[in-house]
Amino acid sequence: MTAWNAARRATRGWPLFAPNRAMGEPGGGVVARSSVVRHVLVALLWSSSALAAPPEAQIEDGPARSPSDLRSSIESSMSELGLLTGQAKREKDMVLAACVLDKQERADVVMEIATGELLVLGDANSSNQTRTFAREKLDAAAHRLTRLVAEAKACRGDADPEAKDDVTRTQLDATQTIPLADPTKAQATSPIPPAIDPLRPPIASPVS
Amino acid sequence: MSLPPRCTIELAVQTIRRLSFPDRWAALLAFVFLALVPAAAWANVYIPRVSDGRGIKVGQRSTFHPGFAVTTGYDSNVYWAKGQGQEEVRGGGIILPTAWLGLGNREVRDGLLQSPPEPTDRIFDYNLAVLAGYRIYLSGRDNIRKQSRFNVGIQGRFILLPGRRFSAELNEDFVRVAEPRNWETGPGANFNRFEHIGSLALTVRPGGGRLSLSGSYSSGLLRYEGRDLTLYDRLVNGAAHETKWRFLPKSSVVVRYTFYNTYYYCCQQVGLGRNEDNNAHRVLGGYQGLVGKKVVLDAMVGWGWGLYRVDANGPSFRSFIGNASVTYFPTLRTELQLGVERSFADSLFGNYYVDAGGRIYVRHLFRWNMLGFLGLSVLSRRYHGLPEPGVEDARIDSYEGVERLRRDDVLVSLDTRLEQALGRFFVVGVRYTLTVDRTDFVVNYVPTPAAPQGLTDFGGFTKHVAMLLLAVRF
Repeated sequence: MTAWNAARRATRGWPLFAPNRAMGEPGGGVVARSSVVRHVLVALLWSSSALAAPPEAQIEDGPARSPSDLRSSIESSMSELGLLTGQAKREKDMVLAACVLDKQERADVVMEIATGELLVLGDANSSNQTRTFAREKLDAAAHRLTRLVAEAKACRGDADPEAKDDVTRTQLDATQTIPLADPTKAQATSPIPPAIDPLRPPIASPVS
Repeated sequence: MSLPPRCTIELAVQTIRRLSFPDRWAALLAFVFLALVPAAAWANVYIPRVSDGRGIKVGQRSTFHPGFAVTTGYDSNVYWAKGQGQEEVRGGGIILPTAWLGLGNREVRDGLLQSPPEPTDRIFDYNLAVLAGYRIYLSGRDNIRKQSRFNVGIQGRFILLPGRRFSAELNEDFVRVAEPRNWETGPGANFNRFEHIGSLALTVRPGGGRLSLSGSYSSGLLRYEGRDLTLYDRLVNGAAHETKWRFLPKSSVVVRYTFYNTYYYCCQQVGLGRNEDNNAHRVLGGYQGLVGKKVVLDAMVGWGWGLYRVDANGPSFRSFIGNASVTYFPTLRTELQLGVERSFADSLFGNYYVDAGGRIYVRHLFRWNMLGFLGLSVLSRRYHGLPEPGVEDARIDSYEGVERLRRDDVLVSLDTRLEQALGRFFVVGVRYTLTVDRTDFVVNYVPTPAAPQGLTDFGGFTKHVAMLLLAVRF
């Protein structure tokens, strides 16, 4: 339910906010003033609720993850980024490598922050409030790393093979309509068995 | 045209993931339907199996598919006999315990590794499968019971650096097939044999994937266990080249040249026995790939040369060859194919044979997890250069139904299969195969001490095989 609807519902039925009446009708003089007040109240309610809503909460749903889950997620993301970087370097595609390395560098910065928060969480002397804040920051770092991995993968999708690259260009992005991987290959053996096995002698002496 | 570098097969998987539950399963199973077709054409009849299930994940990408089946059924014509003269049609029950193991990071469909033409992050695609079965005949006749035999097949498909600028592909099929002979004889007389077909192909894609140039070496071996059949033991070495231009991601024009040299181990005197060494050349060009969104067209035409130079009076093949097939996939679960072909091949009896005919089949995965297959093939086959009776084959006295040492057959093959998955691991299936060879060909053998009246072998037969499978598969 949006703030606008909430405000309308909250103000419905108030005497001040009776249905509009034309000037000269009973109650008509009140209507003009009450309409202004109503709009001001609605605007205030909308702005306060919009400001109060945490932006992250609108993006990420699901239950909060434990610190160990977050740590696993971060490690997995870093590992995947490392693999993507290594692969990009091996393929000698400079555009791809630059793009993936950029993501790797950003991830390193996030990782530094995450490492600090992990230390806080591991410290037995940390207060509950400190630990809560650290977990929230770690959660944000994990999400950020996940996004960076996705962006690094997108680098490959945008990359154009270079002339000297070993990657060919004739690749297809289409829905599969036949269950054959390569219809340009010679048609395979007929699935119907022949009437006579070609390697069976048509005749042979009955005397061995 | 610059296309985003995304992998087709990954998209296929994503598409499958987006499908609803039964559709997802259907699409997955469609990938692996009848995955293993060993080199021996009849091996999949002698070693029946069912399609793979979801498998057991091994490592990051590989899947392990073990399975076990017990098959029981009836073979109406164990000896492939016509039932005239001294020949008698003998039927027998069959019990066939079979087991298979498959490991790979790509599926095999009709003998082809389903590796996409585009490069992926994988450097090695493979699929390795082993299939074995022991055929037990159930009959009151001792001769038939003793035809019980062990069959085994190994199939390997490997691609190094798939779809990259340079890639290497190794294919191998090895089978041991046990077949009764065309007469009711003792167990020592049979057509048991080893077959090997392998190839190593190197592919270069200088233009980034649109143009591909490949060269390959092929090897084949056929060796019969019966020592009276050494006449048919042969070794094949070959080379092939293919130039392919993918003018669209899934459409291409192809030019292919293949060469096979066939060497028969038997007999010092070439020209006798009519199993002459020969060279076969084939040049084919045409279109292979997608037409529209759901139709795959394979249309190749060209010329073939089957040269039997050591056979002084025997014919050589020099004629048109080609094949065309249209495969329609109305959904990922349904496949309908119509195909025609004219081809030639080295024959074990005579110089070569020419096939001309067509086939039609449909396979479908029903929503209740039932796989269905119905296929019909009709071929006209003409054998050229049969051994001249008494001259090139001293065992043969004369032929009937032969004109200018040519034999004509009409081959009909009908195959029907149904497989119903029961839960995740169990499958029950039925299968019926009808094979018919219609010909007037007759061979009269020279009398021998073992057969003083002389024997007559009537070509042609009608064979029904019906089977019920109970399988556990992963």
